[in-house]
Amino acid sequence: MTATQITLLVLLVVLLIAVAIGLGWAARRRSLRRRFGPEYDRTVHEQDGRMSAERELVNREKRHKELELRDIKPEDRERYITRWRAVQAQFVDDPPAAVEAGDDLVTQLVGDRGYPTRDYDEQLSLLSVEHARTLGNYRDAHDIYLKSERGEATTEDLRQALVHYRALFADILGVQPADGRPERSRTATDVDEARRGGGLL
Amino acid sequence: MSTEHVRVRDEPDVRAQSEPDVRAESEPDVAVKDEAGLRVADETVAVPSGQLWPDGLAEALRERWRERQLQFVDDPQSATARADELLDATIAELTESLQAQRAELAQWRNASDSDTEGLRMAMQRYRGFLDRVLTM
Repeated sequence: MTATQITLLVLLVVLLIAVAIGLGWAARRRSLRRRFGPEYDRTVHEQDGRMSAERELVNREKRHKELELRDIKPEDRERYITRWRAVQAQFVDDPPAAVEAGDDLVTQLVGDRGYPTRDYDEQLSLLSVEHARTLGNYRDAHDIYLKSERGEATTEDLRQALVHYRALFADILGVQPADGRPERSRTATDVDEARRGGGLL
Repeated sequence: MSTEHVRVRDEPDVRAQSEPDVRAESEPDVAVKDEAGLRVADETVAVPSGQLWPDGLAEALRERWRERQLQFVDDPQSATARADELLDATIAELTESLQAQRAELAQWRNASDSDTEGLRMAMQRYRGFLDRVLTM
């Protein structure tokens, strides 16, 4: 084996190692992107760099694993759904109070599921591991809630806040508590339907 | 009406018992109360009782309302439009119900030999009905 051959061999090994590391990173990046979706880009933007953002996300996964998440019991789920419907119905009478109640209810559910609720940022970080797709909604809702506390939110803002809260709420609960889309046929009158005792929501 | 009137003169108790039977078809649950009321005072004349809505319909309509109230958060425009429809249908229903009760009171027209006493009682029923509509 000549010196040239040895040099080539070493270069080849180095190149292979570099490719392997590169593939590993790419794979990790793909899996992080898949898992965190919109939160991935958000974190990259926040962290000012892909490497540190990815480190942060891996770290979140690690902290998430340490949590003891509990399943919501079926009877509790029913209770949550009933309470959510009350919140949604309250909106017509008192929008800011409904949004406050919605925020409370989501926080309770998040706590029941086993997430920490004291530190808002920490809560968001951990929620992003399994609920990245609805976390943006939660953030928006919470921002509107804070705006509402300062008395700056319009009724339309508050309505959107409730819809946003419900997205995370439904995501954690695994069901849609009440999306008020009309179900009845358009031909029958309300009185006809009421008389028949037609199905409601 | 006139045969009944004769019997009223002779045996007030018979009238008191037969009168609520006529209305028992539509309002079975209030018949007992009315019967008792009639026995206390002979001159009390049956007036359509307070029930404007068939059993359960009012609650079913309230349920419809709650449905719309829930929908508001998702679609304010359509929820409000449907609230309007609900009121429209409800008012139409109320009108129909009131007209049906008025038609029932108009039976004095059918009696071939409407005598003054029969008409007097019809007037009392109309007054009771009007009072009830005015206090709605």
